[in-house]
Amino acid sequence: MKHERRALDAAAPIRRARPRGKPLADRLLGAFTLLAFGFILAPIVSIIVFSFNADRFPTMVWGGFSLRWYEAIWNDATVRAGFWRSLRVSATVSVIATAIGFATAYVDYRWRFFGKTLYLAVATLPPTVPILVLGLAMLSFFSTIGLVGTLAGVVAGHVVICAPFAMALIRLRLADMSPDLEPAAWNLGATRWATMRAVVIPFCRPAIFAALAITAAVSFDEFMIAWFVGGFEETLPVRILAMLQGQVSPRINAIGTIVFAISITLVAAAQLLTARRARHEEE
Amino acid sequence: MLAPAPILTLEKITKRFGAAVALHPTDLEIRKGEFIALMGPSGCGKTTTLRMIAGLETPSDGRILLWRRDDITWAPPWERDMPLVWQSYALFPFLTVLQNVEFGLKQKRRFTTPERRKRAMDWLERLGIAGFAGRRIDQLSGGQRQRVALARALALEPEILLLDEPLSALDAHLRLQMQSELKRLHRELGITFLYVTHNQSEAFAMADRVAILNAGRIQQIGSAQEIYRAPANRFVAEFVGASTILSGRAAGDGWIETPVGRFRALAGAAAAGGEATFLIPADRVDLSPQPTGAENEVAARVETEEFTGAFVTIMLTLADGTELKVQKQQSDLDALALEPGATVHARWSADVAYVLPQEGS
Repeated sequence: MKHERRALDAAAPIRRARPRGKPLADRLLGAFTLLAFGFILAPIVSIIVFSFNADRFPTMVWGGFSLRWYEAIWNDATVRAGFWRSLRVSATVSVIATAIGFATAYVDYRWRFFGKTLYLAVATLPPTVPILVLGLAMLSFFSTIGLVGTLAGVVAGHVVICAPFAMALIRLRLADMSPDLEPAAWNLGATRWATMRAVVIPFCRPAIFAALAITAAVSFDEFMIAWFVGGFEETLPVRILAMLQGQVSPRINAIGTIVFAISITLVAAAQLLTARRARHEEE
Repeated sequence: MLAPAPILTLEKITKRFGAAVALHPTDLEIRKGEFIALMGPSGCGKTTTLRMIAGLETPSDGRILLWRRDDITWAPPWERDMPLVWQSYALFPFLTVLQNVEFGLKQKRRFTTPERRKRAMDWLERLGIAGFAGRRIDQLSGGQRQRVALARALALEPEILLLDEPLSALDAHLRLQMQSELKRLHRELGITFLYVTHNQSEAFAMADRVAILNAGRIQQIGSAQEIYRAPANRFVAEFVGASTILSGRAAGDGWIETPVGRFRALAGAAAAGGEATFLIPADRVDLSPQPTGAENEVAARVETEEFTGAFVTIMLTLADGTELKVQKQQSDLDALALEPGATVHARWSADVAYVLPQEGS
């Protein structure tokens, strides 16, 4: 076996030194990838483009650049109210979900106990439940405790689906933490609580920020739970659907563009935080 | 002279993990200011002992006393003031070198920020890494990290410093350098060092006393000299590896009948009767091409020669295949012209052949 391995290793540089020209299969694969991306991105791009179109209808004839649809939504009180609600909900959700996610991940890191597999299964369950089922269940449960029709209800529902994302991100980071790090802090005179503040949280900081961003993004454009539970407290995605049912207006494009910009910014922020950490560690 | 008071006393300290016993009831007194090493193969209980002293593991039984007075068996680790230098260093990767060294001082809340900074800088200075104060940990080499870990522990100016295999991650050259540096620090600071290692050259080179552990029991405590010359039992003799071990029947007046011949052993316990085991120190064996007719002499075949600096370790085999270890200066061997497969005659004085105490007595 050993000899075979060595023979393969010796052959490797020769394979790498083959002529540079791309074979047909590579080109086809590249074209396919491009096509797939185009298919995914085209609707989004068209929404963004037509949100700046002066014309009433999205036709191939460009009616000229205009911000009139943005003006229109700014002057629409229901849209503004929905926007602020969504912002408040997502900010609250991100803080609560990240706190819960951190606690869940830390418990998993710190202790071994009976039923841990079950604990982890329950902690990661919510995103696997069909969101429709989740929304209906919350509607019936929240109605018994008076949370239906309140933003608190929407926040509670969003925390349930967001906390597992936060946990996954923070758990990944904790897996990189040397098991000696906490005992080393205790040994230097730091109590458990001081160690949490001075060692565990700083170590997890990039993952915590990433979790805040991702959970905010998930909550900001979540529709189903907000629709079931929110009642008259319409969040922005709920408002958009209500508008679509009444009429097709280019205002939708403007709202869509804003929602997309916010979500993509949050996701990109999370990506950057995790990527920068990875680069640090490689050095 | 009065023996120094024990700073730390272990009384019947025991550790069980479920049915497995990591440490059988063990007594140990650590004297103020001594450099003591706990040495043994992996799984012998040395690290468990250290972790119980630091409070990172709770004993199943027994007590740990400071100055024979304060029972710290159940005190949490953050109240013990016994900083540990970790095998993995366990430095905080999100802090700078200086911040790492300040960490312990910060927990005490006794110092103002400038005092704390100054004290941390002084220790970095003392360990020769003041130039790295602002660096991140991942920008340091292994040897530099080792020094940061030492500075971080010593900045607390403890009475006891715990060290858990601190040199095992360093290459041989750095290890020797750090050995003499640790020895020097110990002498200058006058505090107690408790050092855990599996490496006997480290333990023997630095420690005033070495405790050898095996299978959760202390086998012997003593100076390097004592352990080297008078091992307490077969395990210690084999672990130290400086001698050849032969067994036979005691035949009175120090004579022992072995399968490879009749030898006289006069050091150590008296071989009274029945089974007797004795050691032939490798550095006390003389070789000659022809028999000399001396008291303890045996013919042997040369197997291998191993050069370690000025010394050469020669492995011989006796008639029944037993290995005889001989250590000689290079210059002593020139006249012999040893060849693998050649026959030589090995002899040693009866006064250096050491009879082990009877097992179980």
